[in-house]
Amino acid sequence: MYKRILLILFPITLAMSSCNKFIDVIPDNVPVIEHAFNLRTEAEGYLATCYNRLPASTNTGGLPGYFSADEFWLNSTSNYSAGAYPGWYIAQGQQNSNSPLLNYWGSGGSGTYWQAINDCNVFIERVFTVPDMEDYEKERWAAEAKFLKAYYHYLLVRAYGPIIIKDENVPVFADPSESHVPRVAVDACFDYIVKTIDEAMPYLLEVEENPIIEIGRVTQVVAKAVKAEILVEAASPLFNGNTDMQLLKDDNGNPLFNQTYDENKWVKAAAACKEAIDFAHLHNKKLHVWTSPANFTVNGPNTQYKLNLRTAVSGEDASTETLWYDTRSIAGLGFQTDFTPRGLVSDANHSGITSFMGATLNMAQKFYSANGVPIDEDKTYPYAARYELTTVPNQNKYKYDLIAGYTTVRFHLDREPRFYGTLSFDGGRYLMLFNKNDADAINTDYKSTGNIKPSSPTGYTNTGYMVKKYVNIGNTYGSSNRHDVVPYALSF
Amino acid sequence: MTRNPLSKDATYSLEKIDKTAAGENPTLYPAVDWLDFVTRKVTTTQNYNLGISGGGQLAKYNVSANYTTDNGLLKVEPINDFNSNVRFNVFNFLSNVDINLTKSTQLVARVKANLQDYNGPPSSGTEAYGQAIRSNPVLFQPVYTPGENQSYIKHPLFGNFDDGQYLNAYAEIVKGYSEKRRSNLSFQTELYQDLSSIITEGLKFRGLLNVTRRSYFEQSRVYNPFYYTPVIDPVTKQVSSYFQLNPQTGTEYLNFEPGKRELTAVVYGEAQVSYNRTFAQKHGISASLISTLRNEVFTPQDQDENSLIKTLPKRNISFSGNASYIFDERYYAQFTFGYNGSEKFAAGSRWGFFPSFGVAWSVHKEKFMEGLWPTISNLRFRATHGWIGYDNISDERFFYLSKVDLNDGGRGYTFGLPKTGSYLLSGVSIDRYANPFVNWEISRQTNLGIDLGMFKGALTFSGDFYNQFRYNIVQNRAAIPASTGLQAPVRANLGEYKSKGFEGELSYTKSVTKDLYFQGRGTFTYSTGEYVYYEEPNFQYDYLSRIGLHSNQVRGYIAERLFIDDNEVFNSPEQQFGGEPVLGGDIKYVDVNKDGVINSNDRVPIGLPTTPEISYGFGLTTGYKSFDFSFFFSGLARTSLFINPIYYDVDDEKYGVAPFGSVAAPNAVLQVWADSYWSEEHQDIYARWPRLSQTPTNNNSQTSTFWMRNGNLLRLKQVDIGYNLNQSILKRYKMNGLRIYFSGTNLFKWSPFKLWDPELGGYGLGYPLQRVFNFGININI
Repeated sequence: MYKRILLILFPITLAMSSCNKFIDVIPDNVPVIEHAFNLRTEAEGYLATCYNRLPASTNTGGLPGYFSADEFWLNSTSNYSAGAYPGWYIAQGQQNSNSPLLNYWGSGGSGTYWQAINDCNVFIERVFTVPDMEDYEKERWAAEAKFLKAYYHYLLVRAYGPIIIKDENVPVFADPSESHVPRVAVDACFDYIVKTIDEAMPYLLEVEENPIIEIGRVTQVVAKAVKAEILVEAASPLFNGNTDMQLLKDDNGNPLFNQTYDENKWVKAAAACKEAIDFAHLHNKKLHVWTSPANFTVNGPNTQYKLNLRTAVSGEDASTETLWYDTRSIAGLGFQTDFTPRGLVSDANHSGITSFMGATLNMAQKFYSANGVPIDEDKTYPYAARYELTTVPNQNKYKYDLIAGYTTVRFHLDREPRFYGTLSFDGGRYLMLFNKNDADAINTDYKSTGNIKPSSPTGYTNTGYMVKKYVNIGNTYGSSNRHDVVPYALSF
Repeated sequence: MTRNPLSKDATYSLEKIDKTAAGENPTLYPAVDWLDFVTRKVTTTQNYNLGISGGGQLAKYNVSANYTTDNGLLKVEPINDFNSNVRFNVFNFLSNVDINLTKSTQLVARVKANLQDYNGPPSSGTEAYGQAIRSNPVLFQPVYTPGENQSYIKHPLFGNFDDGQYLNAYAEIVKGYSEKRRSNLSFQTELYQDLSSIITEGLKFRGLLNVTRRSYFEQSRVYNPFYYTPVIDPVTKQVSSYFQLNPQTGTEYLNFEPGKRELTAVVYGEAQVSYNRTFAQKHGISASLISTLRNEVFTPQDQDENSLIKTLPKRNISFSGNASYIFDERYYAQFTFGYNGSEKFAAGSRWGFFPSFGVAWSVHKEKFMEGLWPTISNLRFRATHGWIGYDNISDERFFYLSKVDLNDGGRGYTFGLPKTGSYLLSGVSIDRYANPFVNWEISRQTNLGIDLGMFKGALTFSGDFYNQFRYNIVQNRAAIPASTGLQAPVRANLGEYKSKGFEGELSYTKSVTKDLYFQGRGTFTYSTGEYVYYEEPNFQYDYLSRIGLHSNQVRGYIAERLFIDDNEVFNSPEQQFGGEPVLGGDIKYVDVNKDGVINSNDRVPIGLPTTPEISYGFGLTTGYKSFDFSFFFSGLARTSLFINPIYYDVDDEKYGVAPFGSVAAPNAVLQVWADSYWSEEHQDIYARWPRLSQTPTNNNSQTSTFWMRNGNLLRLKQVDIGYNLNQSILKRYKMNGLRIYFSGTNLFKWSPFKLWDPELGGYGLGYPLQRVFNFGININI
C-alpha cells in the first residue's frame, strides 16, 4: 500500500518543485534605473530629464511671471479656472496655505522642483559609471546637472525663502524620519547655491559650439548670468535684512532671515554682473538689433527701435541678446494666438485666435511719456487729463503709432516708443511683416463695433490692451481660419 | 451678476426668455426636452430556450441552447441609411456528456459557448443619457427640416450654435453606429476515479482541466455631423434657410473608428484526492488535498509602456487541504489550510501558509433534546478561527518591481531653436520604486454561528457573528515629505483594521391547503469596522486622524449656512480654498479649531460611512391553484450620501450635479435647485443651492455637511404575478407548459433623500436604475 501512496505523492512533489518556476513570470530584462547609465545615449536622456522640470516659459497659467503681479488680466473666472491659471488667482488675493496656488513645494511627493533635484542627484552620482563616454564629457554633463540642481534650489528659495538643502538623496526605503531635516537660513541657502554654481563653472562649455544640440544647454555664459541674477536677488531687501520675516525662526530660535542689512552683498552682486556682461560680450552676446528684410520699407523714426524690442523677445532667429533659451517650450500657435488680437485681418473669421491675454492698465501706466519720464512725474504730460477723450492729430509724429483722426483716450498719446512697440490698444497700429511698409500697419479699433471687438464669449481681452512682443512679426492670416505663426523660443 | 461679477454679457436676453416661455416659434426659440426626444418608452425582448437530454448505462448527454434579443430605447434618424438603435443578441450553448469508462471511472466533457452581438449608437446607453442631460435645451433644435430652397442637402441638418462646439445629444446618438462582438468558448474535461477498490476504501480522485478562450472587439463607423443654425429673413422675420456652422469639420461619409480589442486564453487545472470513511459507525473521518493551477494570457490592444507587463501570463497556484473528524454526528472538528503562491511578490514572499480551525456541535442529536422534537428539529453551534492572505494589494501587477520608463517623451527636453534645427531627447521617469519588502495582507477572523430549524424545518434560522482583524494592509507612507523628491509614492505593509458584523437569514414555509401555500424569507447583515493603525503625519489636532474611523468614513467641513452678503464674508474667518473669491451666498463653514481661518485643520469626520452598515431584504411567495404571486423588498440603512456639487469628477470619470459647468455641454439644473438658491434679490441663507456660478467654486464644492444626506433606502425590488395554464388544456395543444406572467422590477422606493435614487450616490445625473415592467408568455413545447 505504501508503494501506492508513493505513486500518488511522487507527482505531487514533482509539481511542487516546478511551482516556483511557474509563478516566476517576469522576464529578466524589465527596465530598471541602472539601464539609464549603461550607454551614453541613455545617459543623455537622463540629462534631458534634469532639464525637464525647468519652468516652461510658455506656461502662462503656471508661471508667476505672467499674472501674479497684475501684468495680465483675464476676462472671467468662469472661463479661466484657478486650476489652469493659479497665477491670476494670486493677483486676485487668493493665495492661501490650505491649498497653495503655484505649489512648487508640493505635497505627498508631488513637488516638481524637489523631484528635479532628486533627478540631478541621481545623475551626478551615476554619470561617472557610463562606460562609453570620455571623462571630459562626463565632467561637463555632471557640471550641467550640478548647475541645474543649484538653479532648482534657487527657484525654491525665491518662492519660499529658507528651504531644505538636498545635496544628496535619501534612500527610498530609509525610515521616513531620515528625510525630516530642518530648513536652512536664507543666507546659507544662497551660499550653497552660489558655491555649487562655482564648483560646476570650470567644467562647463564657455559658449555653445554646435547650435543644434547645444543651444538651450547650460554654458559658462548662462551660469555667470544666472549667478549674477541670484546674487542680485540675495542682495535685494527681500532677502537682505528683511525685518518682515523676523518672526520666522528655526527650532533653536535662530532667525531664518538675516535681520541685518549688508551693503556688501550689492558689491558682490555688481561684480558678478560685470563679470557676466564682460564674459558675454567676449562671446559675441550683445543687445539685439533687428534687420529689415529687403522687401520691407521703414519710414517711421522709431520703427527700428520698436521692432528691436519686439523681435528681441519673439524673433525666430537666434537673438544675440538671449543668453539662455527655453528651447523646450517653443512659443508656437497655441501660445501666440493667446496674445494676438482677433480681427487683425478683416476677411477672415479666425475662431482659432484665442486672444484673451489682456495687459493691465497698471502696466500701461508704467510706460514713460515721450520725454522718457514716468507720466506722473513728467511736468509737460497732462497726467490729470489722461483718461479724457481726444482726437489723434494728423501729424507725422503720431502717424506710425496711432490712427490719424481717431478718437481715443489722451493716455495713448505722447508716450515713449516702448509703449507703442509693446502694447496694442484702441486707436493704435499693429505692424506685421506682410504689411510691407510701416505706413500700412493695421489699425486697431477695440470698441464693440471695431475690428478688434470681442467676438467670442471666452476669447477677448477684458482690458483693451494686448501685448505685441509675444507675436512674431512674420505671422500671416489667410481665409478660412488659416493662421500661420512663426515659432520662436523664449528665454529663461 | 452673482454668477460672475466680471462678466458683463448676460447669456440670455429678456426677449429670448420671454419668447422661449411663450413657445410660439420653436425653430427660433427652442425648448427641447432632449431625453424625451432621443428615447422611446417601450421596447421588446425575446427569449428562446431549447433543451435535450438522454442517454443510457454507458453515457448520458445534455444539450441546451438559449437565444435572447434585446432592443434599445433610442430613436433612429430616417435620413441615415443605417440603424443606430441598440440591438443586443445573446446566444448560449451548453453540452454535457458523461461517460462511464469503467465501473469506478467517470469522464465528463463539457462544452460551453456564449456569443454576444451588439449593434448600437456610437455612444453607450449610459453615455447617450448623459449627453441628453448636457445638451443645451434653448439654443437649437436637435435637427432641422430644410425648406424647398435647401432640399438638395442629403444629410441631417443637426442644430447647433456659435461655431458648432455645443453638444447635440441627438447628433451624437445617430451620427453612426458601433458593433461589439464577444465570444466566450470553454471546454472542460473532468475525470472521477473511485480508488476504493484499488487502494483503500473511501479514497477518490478528481481531476479537472478547463480551457477558455475569450475574444472581444468593438468598432464604430461614424460621420462628423454638419451643424446648422436658422437664418432669419430680415423682411418676413421668418426662417429663410439654414446656415452651416462647421463646413470644415463635417463629413457626409462614415469614418472608421477602431475600439477595444481583447483576446484572452485561460487554462485552469485542478486535482483533488479525497478520503471519506466512517469507522465503527461513530468515527467519521474525511480529508482532502486540492491543488489548482491557473494560467491566463492576454494580449493588449495598444502598444504602450505597460504592454510588456500586460502580455506576461497571470499565474496562480495553490495547495489546500482539509481534515475533519466527526464523532457520532454530534461533535465536529476541522482543520484546513491553504498554501498559496502568488506572482505579485518578490521571490522570498511568494508563498503564504494560511491555516484555519473549526468546531461544531449538533445539539439536536443529543439524547436530552429528543423530547423537544419536532419543535426543534435542528440546532447546531459552529465556531471557526483562521487566517486568510490577500495578494490583491494593488491594481498594478508586479507591485514589487520598479517601473521605469527609459523613453518618456514627457520627461525629456529639446535643444536647438526652431529655425536652426532641434535635438529632441526623451527622458526617464519612475512610476514605481522597487519594493522587495511588500508582502501578503493578512486577516484573522473568528466566526460564531448558529443554525436552527423548527417544526420539521418549516422555520429555519441561521446566524453568523464574525470578528475580523486585518493587518499588514498596504498603504502609502504618509510620513515621507515632498522634499525627498520621490516621483512615486512608497508603499508598505502598515495598516491595521478591525471589523465585526452579523449575518442572519430566516425563512418560513407553510402550506395552508392543497391549493394555497406561503413562503417567506428575510435576510439581514450588519457590519462595521475601524482603523487600528494608519500611518499619518503628526497632526496638530487629534480629530484629523483616521484611526478609530470606518474605512468609508467621510471627512469634511461643517457647514453652518450660506453667507448673507459680502460684508458677512469679510467679517468671518477667511475660508481658504483658492479659486474665486468667497462672496455672499457661498457656504459658510464652522471654524472648528477657532484659529480664525477655515482650512483643512477644520475637517472632521461627518456622517455615517458611505457604504451601508446594514443591508436587509424580505419577501413572500404565495400560490393559489394556477396563480402565483411573489414580491421582494431590499433595504439599506446606516449610511450617508454626499451630493457631488461639481461638473465633472476626473477621478471617477462621472459628471456631478452642479448646474451649468460648461458652456458647450451644460449640466441640466434640477428643479429643486431652480426653486431654491441664494440670489442677490433673494438672500436666502438656508437655500438649497448656494450662489450660482457658471462653474462650481472651490468654496462651494468642498465636502461638507451642506451636501450630506441620509442614504437609507427601502426598495420594492421585484413583483411577479403568473398564471399557469391547466394541464388538460395544454395536452390538447400538445404543449408541456404555458405561463402568462407580469413582472415589475424597481417599482417603488422609500427614502428620506428624495432628489434621486440614493443608489446613484452623489451623481444624481447619472444613468438611473430603471423601473421595468415585463409582460410575457412562456411556452414550453
